[in-house]
Amino acid sequence: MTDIAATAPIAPKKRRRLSLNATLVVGIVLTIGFLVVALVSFFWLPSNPNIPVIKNRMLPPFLPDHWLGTDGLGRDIVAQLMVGARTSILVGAGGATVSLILGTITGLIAAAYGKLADETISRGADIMLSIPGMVTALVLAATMGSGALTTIFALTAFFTPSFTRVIRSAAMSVLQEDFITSAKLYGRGKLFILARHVIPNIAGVMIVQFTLYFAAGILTEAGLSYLGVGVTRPSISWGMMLNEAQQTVGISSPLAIWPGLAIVLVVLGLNLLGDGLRDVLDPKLKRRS
Amino acid sequence: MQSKMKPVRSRLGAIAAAALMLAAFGSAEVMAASPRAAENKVVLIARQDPGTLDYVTSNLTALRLWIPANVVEPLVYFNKDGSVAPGVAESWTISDDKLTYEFKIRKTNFSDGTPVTADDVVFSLNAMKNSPVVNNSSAYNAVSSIEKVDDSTVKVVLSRPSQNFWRGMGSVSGLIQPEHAAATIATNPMGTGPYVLKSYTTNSSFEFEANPNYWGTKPSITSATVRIVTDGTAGLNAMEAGEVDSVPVITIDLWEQLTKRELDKKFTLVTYPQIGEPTYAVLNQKLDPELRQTLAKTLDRQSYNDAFGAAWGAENTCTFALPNQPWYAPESADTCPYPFDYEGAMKTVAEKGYGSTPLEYASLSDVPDLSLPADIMVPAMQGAGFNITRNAIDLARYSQLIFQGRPPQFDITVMSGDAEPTQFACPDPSKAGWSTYCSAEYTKALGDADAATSDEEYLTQMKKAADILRKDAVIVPLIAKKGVGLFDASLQGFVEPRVGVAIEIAPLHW
Amino acid sequence: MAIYALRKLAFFLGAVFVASLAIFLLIRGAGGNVAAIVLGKDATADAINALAHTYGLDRPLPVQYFDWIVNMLHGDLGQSFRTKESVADLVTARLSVSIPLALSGLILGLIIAIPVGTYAARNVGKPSGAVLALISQIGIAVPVFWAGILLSVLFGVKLGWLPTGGWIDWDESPVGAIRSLVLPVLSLGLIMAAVLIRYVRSAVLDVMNQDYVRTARAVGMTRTQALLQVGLRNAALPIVTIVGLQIAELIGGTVIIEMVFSLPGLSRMILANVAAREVIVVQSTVMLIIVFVIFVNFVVDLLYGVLDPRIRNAA
Repeated sequence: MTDIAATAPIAPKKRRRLSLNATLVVGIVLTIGFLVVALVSFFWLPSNPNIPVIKNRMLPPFLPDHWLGTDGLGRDIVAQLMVGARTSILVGAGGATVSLILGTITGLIAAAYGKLADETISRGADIMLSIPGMVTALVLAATMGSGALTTIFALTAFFTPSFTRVIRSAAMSVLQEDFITSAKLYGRGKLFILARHVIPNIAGVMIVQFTLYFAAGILTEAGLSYLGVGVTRPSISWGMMLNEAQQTVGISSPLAIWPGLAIVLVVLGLNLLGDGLRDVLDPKLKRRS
Repeated sequence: MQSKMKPVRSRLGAIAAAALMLAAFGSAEVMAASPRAAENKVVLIARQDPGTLDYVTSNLTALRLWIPANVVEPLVYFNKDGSVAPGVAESWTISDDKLTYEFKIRKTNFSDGTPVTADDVVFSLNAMKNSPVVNNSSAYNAVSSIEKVDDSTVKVVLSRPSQNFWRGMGSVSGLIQPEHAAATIATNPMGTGPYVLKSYTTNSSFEFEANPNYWGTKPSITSATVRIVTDGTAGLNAMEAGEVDSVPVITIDLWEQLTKRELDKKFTLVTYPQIGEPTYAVLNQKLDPELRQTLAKTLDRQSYNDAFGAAWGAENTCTFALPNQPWYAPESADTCPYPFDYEGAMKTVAEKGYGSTPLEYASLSDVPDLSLPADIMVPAMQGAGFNITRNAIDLARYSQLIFQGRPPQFDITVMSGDAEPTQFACPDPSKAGWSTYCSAEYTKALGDADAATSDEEYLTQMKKAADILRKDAVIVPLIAKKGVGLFDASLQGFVEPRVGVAIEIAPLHW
Repeated sequence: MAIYALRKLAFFLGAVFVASLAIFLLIRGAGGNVAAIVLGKDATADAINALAHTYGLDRPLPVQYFDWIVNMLHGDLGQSFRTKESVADLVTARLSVSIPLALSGLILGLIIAIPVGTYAARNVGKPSGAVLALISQIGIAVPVFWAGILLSVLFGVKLGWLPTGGWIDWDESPVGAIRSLVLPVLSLGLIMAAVLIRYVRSAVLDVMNQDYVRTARAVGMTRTQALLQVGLRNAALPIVTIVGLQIAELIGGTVIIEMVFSLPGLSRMILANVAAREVIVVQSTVMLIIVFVIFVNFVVDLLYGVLDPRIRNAA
């Protein structure tokens, strides 16, 4: 035990080898692919994803001009998927980043700054978590009008308390470890302990949570747009494409496949990336091997 | 080892259970095509939930499809051939000057067993006269008094002849309800019709049962369920699977599925104009007339029709009407003052510099029938050089900004709705409705039509009104959609709606 | 423990109050009123104002809030403006759809997740564990509504075994009701399972790497014995938290699933009433859900105290 107390505070050693396990590789490949597609969409698109070409309605996939066919108004699917990737990044990463920052601050305060702070923040988080997110978002969309910013705002509103809770509970369990007690005995201040001991020890959790919620943000955005309260044209979202596709699912089911596949691949990529990073970064897993 | 086996076993167990369940339910499905035929029942599908059944204060199609004619009857019925049949009024007399109407009330009971009295009729007509819904109250514009003559006679006196009044007595405006049950009209409307509403669960279903007190021939169908399935494809699937007997109202977004899935061959497809709706662009009247005309020239009507992939169900038109209205005209050089002319529009935009005028396109995001035309219209107008921002809003916000907003907050929008021309009547510009349209000339033509004492004169004036509306380029019709319904091949007897858009269950039989 | 529980109770009540204020302001901020929507596009401003007056929507907001709270404290959740049905009745009717859906979804999820997650954790590094982890990862990535759409295309459209949507009431046909629920529950349960597997797996992994488990193994217990006898109690803590957290997620999932399958459940009712600006119905129903979820979290907190004496004593 003493041996852990002595070494753990200095645990985040910089010489961790990045073991390129399969999870991480697949995660990186999918995530980079996703980012590249979004980037390319700014410079090149097969055709304008918003201009209808009625004579080309519902073309089947695998045509030279339309690799994945066209939708009910003759708009190219690939072009729409590419523009949809931008929306996913904007909303997913936007929501996850803001929530991570707010959640880490509140979570650490709750864990370290006494009962009053803890109770206030935890109860606040409970209240926000107990308001069903989808309903909040719907009411928000009604209040603020639908769109990417509203969606990011809604995501922040219902991701932040989750971050708060997870960060708080992770930080609390670190704070109860023996080495913190010894650090306190050494006379270390609260901020020092948080910055030097707690954050490095929960960094793995934070990264896992960030990727998880980036992915969850993409999923939630898709859900909201599917419900018709998220992104609307001329912006394009994969969820919105699925909403449109469901109206023609009896005629052309491939339309309901592509946007879903895109979501699965991207969310899978981000989650694998997070897990891979976790396996590499988590000091406890490290200790075991 | 044991703990290693456990999860695998329960996982397999779960899969096996699921498979068994699926198999069991799957096989249960194999049964006679119409299990309800023997019991004289029908299950119908409705796409929309009205939320309220108060037809006096609410103008929702979702409610007007089911309650009038089935549960609550009007004073008279107008048949398709133009003849008038008795309803709650057993007989009537109309004075030669067309100013006095006397209705002899049928000696019958409401579905709860209480007799229909002249007081109930006076109450009902007054309720409609004071209705906040313009479509309900407009029939009473010329009415100066509604009074009880004796226990079974009601007299209505008009200040001038009115076509709208007489037509109204055969529509929702003429529905007769019991005064003592008026408080529960929103959940349990009562009347003298062939059916009683047994239950209504919002977002779920209506249950109708034959009315034991009905005065007419007992209907063949003794019980009817109207199931509310908002997802149109799910409704068609239920029809295909034999779970329901009819989808009597099928919206345009599903028409292509009907033919692609050959449902039109497997079942009886009926088309009827009454439930149809015109889809029309609204160009704010405050915009420069030539700008509006130029916007109108960017509208390629054929593309709106083609976009739904079902040309059999809709017609291109520049006239605000449905094909069953005698003043209707399909798209033609004579009836389209601003025909599709994209090149011409581009030229005008460039010459007049319209590109510098920012225009807001208000699009209803939660109504597919309307967001799809917007998907076509906005890029087309932008392509012609107009500077258009699309503002996608939900119905609640749309009603706040546009239906209710004065002045309404839009430059361009697209709407679909009933084809009643009087909805755009506007006696003075300060009273302009949500559409912003206001024309003294148009309103006068409608007034002349209302006061017409012959059908010919009525038609002449209505045609004149339609012509004025077309030329003003505020209300710009695109297509006229028909009503489309699907019925089980052995479910027969469908009649076109007589009371507004109401689907009558009573004539149906197996 | 009693003091700990009392404190939690006090905060439970406080949370309910704050939530009520938040939800009231959120919904009232939405703009648009039920009168305008009921009256439709041809209504006059006078008619709308008159209708709003009969609904009491023209009173000052604090009065309306106070009125709502006082009525709720008296057990009166209010009624729909349009249909005059009481919210209590409306909610009760919807629960016969939503509770079976949400509960079966959660149970199906747990039934799959706990054994599979434990198995995956115990076989970490082995091919079987990796495959399970990957399957769970893919499951998490699948949007619940896409799963719904695909299942309904497969079993509804292509195979025609089950309804693709819609609802047959329990009264009308229990078999019909169950048939309407199979695909929604399956979609919800599978997606819940995928999420839960991940949590169960990491919880078990964390516990397995705790020093006391290693100590237990060092004194001669097998890994399984160590896990069951020492670790389970500790793994229960994060799992209880997750189930608490998942309640809100579960409700979010049912919102979407009810939309995909056109089920007349509680969430669909809320969405429809938000669209119709039936503010009282929305406020009261959302409030009921919030109270329920806060209550679940309250119970979770109590369980926390029971499961981990350190937390109880710290508070």
